[in-house]
Amino acid sequence: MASTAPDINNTLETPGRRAELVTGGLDFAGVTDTVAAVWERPRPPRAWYIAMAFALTLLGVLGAMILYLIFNGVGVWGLNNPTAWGFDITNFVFWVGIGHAGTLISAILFLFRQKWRTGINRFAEAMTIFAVMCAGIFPGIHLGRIWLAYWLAPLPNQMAMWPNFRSPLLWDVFAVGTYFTVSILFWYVGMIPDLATFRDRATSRVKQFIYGLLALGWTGSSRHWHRFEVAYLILAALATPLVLSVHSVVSFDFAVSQLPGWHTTIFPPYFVAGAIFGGFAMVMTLAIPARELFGLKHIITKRHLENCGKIVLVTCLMVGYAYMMEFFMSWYSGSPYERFVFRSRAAGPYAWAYWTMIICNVAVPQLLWFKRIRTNVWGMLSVVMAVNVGMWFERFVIIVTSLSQDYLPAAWDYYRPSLVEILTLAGSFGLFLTLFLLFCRYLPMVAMAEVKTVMPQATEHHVAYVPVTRAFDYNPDEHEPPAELERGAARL
Amino acid sequence: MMASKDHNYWRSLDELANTPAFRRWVEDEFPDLWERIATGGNPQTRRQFLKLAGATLALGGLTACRWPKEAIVPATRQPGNRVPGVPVQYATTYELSGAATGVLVTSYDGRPIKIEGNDKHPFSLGKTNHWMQAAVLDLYDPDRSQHILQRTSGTDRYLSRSLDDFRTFAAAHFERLRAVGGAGLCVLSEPSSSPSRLDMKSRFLAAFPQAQWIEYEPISRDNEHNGARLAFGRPYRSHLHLERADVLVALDSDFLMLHPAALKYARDFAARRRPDVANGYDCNRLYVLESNFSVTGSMADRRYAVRSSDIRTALEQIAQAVAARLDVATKLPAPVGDLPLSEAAAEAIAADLVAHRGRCAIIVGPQQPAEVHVEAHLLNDWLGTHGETITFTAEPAAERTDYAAGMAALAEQIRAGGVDTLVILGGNPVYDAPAELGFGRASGQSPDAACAFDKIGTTVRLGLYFDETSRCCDWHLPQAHWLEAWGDGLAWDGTLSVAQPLIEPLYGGLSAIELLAMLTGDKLSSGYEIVRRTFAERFGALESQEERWKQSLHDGVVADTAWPTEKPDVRPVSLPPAKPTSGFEVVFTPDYSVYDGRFANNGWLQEWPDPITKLTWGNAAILSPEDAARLGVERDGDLVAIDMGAGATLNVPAYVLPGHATGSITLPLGYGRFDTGFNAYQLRRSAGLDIAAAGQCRRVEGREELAGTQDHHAIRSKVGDAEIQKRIPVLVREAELHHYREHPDFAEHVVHVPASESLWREKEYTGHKWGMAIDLSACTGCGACVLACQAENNIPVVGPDEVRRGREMHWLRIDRYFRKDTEGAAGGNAQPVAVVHQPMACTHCENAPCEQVCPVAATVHDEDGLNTMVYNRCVGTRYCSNNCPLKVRRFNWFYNHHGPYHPRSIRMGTSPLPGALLKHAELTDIEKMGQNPAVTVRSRGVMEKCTFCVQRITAVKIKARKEGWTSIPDGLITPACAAACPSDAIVFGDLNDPRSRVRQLHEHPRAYPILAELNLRPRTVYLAKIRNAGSGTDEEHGQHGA
Repeated sequence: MASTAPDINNTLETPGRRAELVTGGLDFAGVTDTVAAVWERPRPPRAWYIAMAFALTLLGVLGAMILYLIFNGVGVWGLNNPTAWGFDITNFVFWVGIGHAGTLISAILFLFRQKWRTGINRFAEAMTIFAVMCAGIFPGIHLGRIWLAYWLAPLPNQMAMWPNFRSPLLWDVFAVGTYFTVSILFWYVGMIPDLATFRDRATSRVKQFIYGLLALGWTGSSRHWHRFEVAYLILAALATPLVLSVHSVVSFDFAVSQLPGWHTTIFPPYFVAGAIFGGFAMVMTLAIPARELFGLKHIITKRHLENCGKIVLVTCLMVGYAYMMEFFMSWYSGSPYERFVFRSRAAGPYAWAYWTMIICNVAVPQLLWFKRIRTNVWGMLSVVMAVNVGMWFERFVIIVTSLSQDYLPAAWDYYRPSLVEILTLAGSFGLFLTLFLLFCRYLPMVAMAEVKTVMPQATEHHVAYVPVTRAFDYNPDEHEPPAELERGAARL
Repeated sequence: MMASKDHNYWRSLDELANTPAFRRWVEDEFPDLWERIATGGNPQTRRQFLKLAGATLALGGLTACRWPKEAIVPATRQPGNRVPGVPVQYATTYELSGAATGVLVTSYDGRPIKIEGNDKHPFSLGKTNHWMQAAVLDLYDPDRSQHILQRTSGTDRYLSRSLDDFRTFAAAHFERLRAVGGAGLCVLSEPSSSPSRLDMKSRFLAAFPQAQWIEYEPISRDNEHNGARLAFGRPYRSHLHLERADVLVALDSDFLMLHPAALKYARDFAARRRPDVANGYDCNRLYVLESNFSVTGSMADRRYAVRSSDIRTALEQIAQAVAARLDVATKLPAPVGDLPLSEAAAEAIAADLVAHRGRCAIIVGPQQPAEVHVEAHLLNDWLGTHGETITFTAEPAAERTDYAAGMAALAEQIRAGGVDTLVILGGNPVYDAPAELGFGRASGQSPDAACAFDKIGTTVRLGLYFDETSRCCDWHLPQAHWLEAWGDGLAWDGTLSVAQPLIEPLYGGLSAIELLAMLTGDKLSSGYEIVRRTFAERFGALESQEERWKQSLHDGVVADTAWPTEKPDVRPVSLPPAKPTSGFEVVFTPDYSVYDGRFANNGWLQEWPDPITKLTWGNAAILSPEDAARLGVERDGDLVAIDMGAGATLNVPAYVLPGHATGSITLPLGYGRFDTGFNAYQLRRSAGLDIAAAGQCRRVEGREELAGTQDHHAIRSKVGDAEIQKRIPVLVREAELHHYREHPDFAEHVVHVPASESLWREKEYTGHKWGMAIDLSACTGCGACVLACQAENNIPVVGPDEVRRGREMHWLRIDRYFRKDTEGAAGGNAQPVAVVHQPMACTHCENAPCEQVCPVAATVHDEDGLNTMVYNRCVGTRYCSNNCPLKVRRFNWFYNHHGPYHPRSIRMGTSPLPGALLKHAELTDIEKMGQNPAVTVRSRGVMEKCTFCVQRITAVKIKARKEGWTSIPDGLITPACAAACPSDAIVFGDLNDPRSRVRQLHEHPRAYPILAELNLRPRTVYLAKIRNAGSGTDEEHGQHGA
C-alpha cells in the first residue's frame, strides 16, 4: 500500500530548532500502529507478492546455478589462468562491504548519539545480516573441492593439521564469522522489545507463541529495560570495531599478496570507506521503495534519506581521493609493474569497467552536493543505484585487471564471465531480496522502541518541539506557540 | 556369445551351451558326465543336460559377476632384472621420415610409459624431441584400429575378421598373382630406412617380378636429392658439423627443428653458443633467411624475412658478393628482379663467410627447389666447407624418383586400369597425396563419392588407424605400433640400430615386414626372425654374432655402422635463371605438432603450443602484419580465402606473425582431420608441393576463434603492447657478445635490486638443495621439455575450448616474446623482429608467495627446498595461483581425466549440458596403461604445478638411503624436461654439491633470477641470452662496435 501522504520535507533546520524525526503528527501509538501494520495486515500489499515472486525466481536460479557448479566443477565459470578469481570474489567483497553500513548505523551512530539512526537501523542491520549471508556463499562455492570447505575451520582433526593462520583467507573466515555472529546477536537483542510488541498484538495463538518465544519473556519492566540498554551498549561497542576491522581484513586478501594493483597499504581504509559508501547506497536503495510500499514515510523521513545521502557523499569523496592516491602512489613507487597496471586500467582492455566505476562512484554522486537532489527521493534513488553498480565494478576492476595483466606478459589473458556466473550474481540478489521481503513481512521493520526515544513525547520538555505537519515557516518574532501544539501536547 | 568389455551376454541357453568355454567348463566340472555326453548318449538327454547346466552356469555366473575373477599366478622364478614396480629401460629405435633415432623406453611392469634419449646413439645423444615424447600416447590411443576389417563388396560396411581369415584370403589371392608374376600388383609404402624392410622389399619383388613398389610421403627431401644429383652427378646426403662452424647461413632451413638430425644439430649448435671467459667468449653466428618464422629463425643473430621464392635471388646476391672477394672459377647466375636483400646485408654476410672460410656453412631447406641446392653446393665449395663443416655420404636408393612423380604415375596407371591389387603400407595417401591426382575421397566428401581406388580390384591397407585411406580400401589390417614391433633403422648417417618391442601388440597388429613376409610366403613370419635374418645377412651367421646382437639390443645401436664419408666434386652446372614471381606465394610446411598429419589424433601434440605461433588444436594461414593490414585482417582468426586457381579455394583463419615475409602465406599441413584446423593438402598440387606461386588471397566475412596459449586478442591493447616491449629486456636478459665480453655480469645489473635484510633467521638448507638453471642462449624453444613433462607427470589434455579459455595444463610452458629488433638488418620487413624464448615452470622460490596464502597449508616447503603441492589437502581456493608472480600453477577446473568437457567426451557425443551431467567417457583401461604410476592423477578442484619431478628425486634418494650412499652423484637425478632438452639448456642438481653443474651455473656471471625485485629467491636461475649479430663496416650492423 503506497503511502498517499505527502512526503514532508523535514530537512530544513534552523538553529535551536531541530527538525522532527517522526513526521505526520504521529505519537507513540501511531508509531507502533504504523510499523505493526506492515505485519498485521491480513495480506501484504500486492507489490510485495510481485517482488517476492521475482525474488524467489532469482533464488531458484541461484540454487540451480550452485548445483550445476557443484556437479560439474569450477570450470563452468569463466575463470582461467591467470584470472583465477573473478565474479566469485567480486561478489563476496561486494556483499560483505554492503553489510558494513548497517553496523555503522546500528553501532557507531548509536555511540555518536545520532538520533536519526533509529528510523533505519533495524532494517539496515537486517540488510547487513542478509548481505553477509549472501557474501558467505561465495567463498564456499568458489572452492574447487567444496565438500572439504570445513578444512578452513580450526577444528581438531585426525590429520593433526591446523589451517594456515598466515593466510588472509583464513583471517576472512574469522572476520566474517565474527561479524556475522555479532551482527545477528546485536540485531536480535535489539529486536526483543519490538518482538514483544508483536507478541502482545498477535491475533492468533500461533503468532503469539512464536513471537512469545522470540521475545524471551520481555515484560517491559524497568529492570528489563535497564538490562536491555546495557546489553545494547555493550554490543554496540563490540560491533563498532568490526565496521573498521572486517573489511580491512577482507582487503588483506589483496593487500597482503604481491600482485601489482593489489599490494598496497591504502586498501584497508579504502575498502572500509568503499564499504560504507556502497552500504549506505544499498540502505537507501532498500529504504526508498520500502517506505513507499509499507507506508513508513513518516518514520523514514526525507531527513533520514538526506543524512544517508550526506554520508554517501562524504564516503564518495573519500573513495575518490583514494582512487587518486592509488594513481599517485603507483607513479611515485617507480615500479614499472605498478605504473602499468594503473595505466592499463584506464586505457587497456578493461577500460570500459574502469570508467564505469569512475563515473558511477565519483561523478554521479557529486549530484548530492545539491540540496535539490538530496531532497528528491527519486533523484537520490538513481544516484545510489549508480553507486551500487559502481561499487561492484570497483571490486571487479581491482580483482580482474590486476590478475589478468601481471608480471609476465606471456601469462596475460582476458577474463569473461560465463552465463553461470552472471546468473549466480543475479541469484544472490534473489536470496538477499527474498530474505529482506520476509523480514519486512514477519519481523519488526523499524526499531519502534528506539524511534520512540527520539520523539518529542519521550522527554518532559516536549513542548519545545514543534510537530511539523506542513512546510515549515517559522517566524521568530512570534512568541505564541502555534495552535497545533496544544493538540500535540495532549497525546502521549 | 557376444563378448563386451565386462559382461558376457547370450541370447538363449542354447547359444550359451554351444560355446567352447561352456563345454570346457562342463568337462572340468563333470568329467565323467562329459565323457558320456560328448561321446554318446541320447542327443535329447544331452541337450536337456546342457540346458540345465547352462542355466546353472548362467545363474552361478550371475553371482560370480559381482567380482570379475582374475586368476593370478605368482612367478616362482622371476626373470632377471625384473622386480615388479621397478621400472626398466630398454633401447629401441624411433623412425620419422626415413631416419632412425635411438631411444630408451622406460617400461613399468611391462608397459612402456616414457621415452628418453639414448646417449649411445649418435643422433640422440641422450635427448629426444617432442614427437618421440608423444609417441607413448599413440601407443595407448583407444582410437587405434583394433580389428582386421574387410569391406563387404558393393557396400561401405566393414566386418571384423580374424587373422586366419585374412591369411586364407591372402594365400589364395597372392598365389594367383604369383602365377602371373605379380602383374597388376602394386605396393604403396611410406619410405623407411629399415634394412629389414628393404630386404623384404627385394624378396617381394623377387617373388612378384612384375609388381611395382612405390614409396610416397608428403614431406620429402626430393629437392635436396635432385639438387645433389645435379651438382655432384649422383645424390649425396649432407652432414653438418656445426661444432666446427663459426658462421652459418640458413636459407629457409629449419635445421634445428625439422631436420632428421635436428637433435644432434641442436646440441652441436648450442655448444657453440655458450660464450664464457673459459672458452674465450666463443660464439658462432647464425644468419637466417626465411619466409616463415621458424625455431631456427628464432635463434638467428641476424634474420632476414625473404619470400621463399626469392631465396634463390638472395643466395645469388650473397654468392655474387662472395665471388667478388674470392677468385672462383665457376660463376653463379646473377640475381634478377627485385633484390630481396639490401646490398649492405649481402656484403656483410659475404664478408663474414669469407672471413671464416672453411669454418662456415650455407644450409638450404628441403622446400627450396633443386637449383637453390645446387647453387648452395657451389658456394659451399668456394668457401672450403666441404670436408670441414659439411661432409657427404652417398644417398641410399640413389635412383629413386621423386615421391610425387611416383604417385602421379601410379594415379595414371590406376586410371588406365592397370592396377589390380594395391597394398598400402602405412602413410595416409588418400589424405595427403597431391590434390590434382584425385586419390580417394577428400575429407568432407560423402562416402558415396567416387574414389580412385574403386577402380582397383583389391586394396589391402596396413595402418595404425582406420583412417581416410582405410575407408577406401577393401581390407584394413591394424598396424603394430613401433613400440610393439621388431624392426631396425638407419640413422641419418647410416648407423644401424635395432628396434625391439616393449609390449606385445595390444590389438594383435602386424608390422610391415611381417605383412610382407605373409604375402610373399616367406618361411619366416615373425618380425623377430626377419630382423635377425637381416642382421645375420649383414654381420654373418646368427651363432657367431650372438654377442654382437645382444650388445646391439642392449646399447640400442650397432657400433661402427655409419656410412663412409665421401668428398664429391661439384660439377659445373648451368642453371636457367630464376623466374621472378609476384603476387602471393603459398608455402606448404609440415606442422611442428602433427608433422604431416600423422599425429592428428595425438592429444598431447595437438595441445602442445607451436613454438612460434603458440597455436594449438588447429592451424591458420600465416601472414605478415603488412599483408594483414592490406587485406583487412584485423585480428587472428579472421577468415581469408586462399585461391590457388582451378577451383581450389579454401576459407581459412589467418594468423598475423610479426617477422613473416611480405607476399608470402604459410599453410601448415596436417590438419583438417578430427575437426581440427583446415586441410591444406586440398590446395597442394604436384606443381607446387612446397612453394606454390600465384596464389590469391582476400579477406572474407567471418572469423574462427583460434586456440592459442599466448597473446590472446582480447587482452591486447596499445598500452599493453608498449609495456611488453619494455618488459622483455628485464625478463629475458640479452646482450650482444661484445657487450658481454666487457661486462660479464651485465645480467645482474639490468634491474637494480637494493640489498635487503631479513627480519628473521632464514632457513639454512644443509642437506640437499635442489636447483635448476636454464640457459637462454642454448634454448631454441623447441618444446621437447613441455611434452616430456606432460608425459612424465600425467598432465591431462583439456581440448581446444578450454585452451581458448586459457586453461591449458602444461606445468612447463615456453614464453615467447616478439622483440622489436631495432639493431637488426631490415631486409624487407618494416618492423624487424626477433623472437625470444623463456621456459617457465615453478621456480621453487625459497620465499614462495604461494605458500603463505594457502588457507589450508596445501603447499609447503620441504627439507630440500622444494615447494611441494599436497594434492589431497588442496581445497581449491586458487589464492596460490593469484599470488604466484610467474603464473605457473595450474588448476583442475573439471575432472580432466575424462569428464563432460573433455575433448574425448565431447567427440564421443556426450554434450556438456545438464541432462548429461554425470555421463562422460571414462578413461579406458588402455589409456590408464600409459600413465606414470609414480605420479598421482589429480582430481577436480585441485591445484598442480611443476615438482622438479619429485618422483625421480625421491626414487634416487630412497635408493641412496637403502644402499648407504654417502652422496648422490651429480647428473643422476634429471627431471623430465632436463632429460629431454636437445640443446642441454636445462640443468638440474644439488646446489649444496660444490662440484655440481647447477652450482657452477648459479654462480655464473650470466645467471640472474627472475623478478629478483620481489625477493622470491627462486631456485631456478636463467642464464642470459647472448646474441652475436656482430659488427660490420656499415651502420646497419653493430652500432656497438667490435
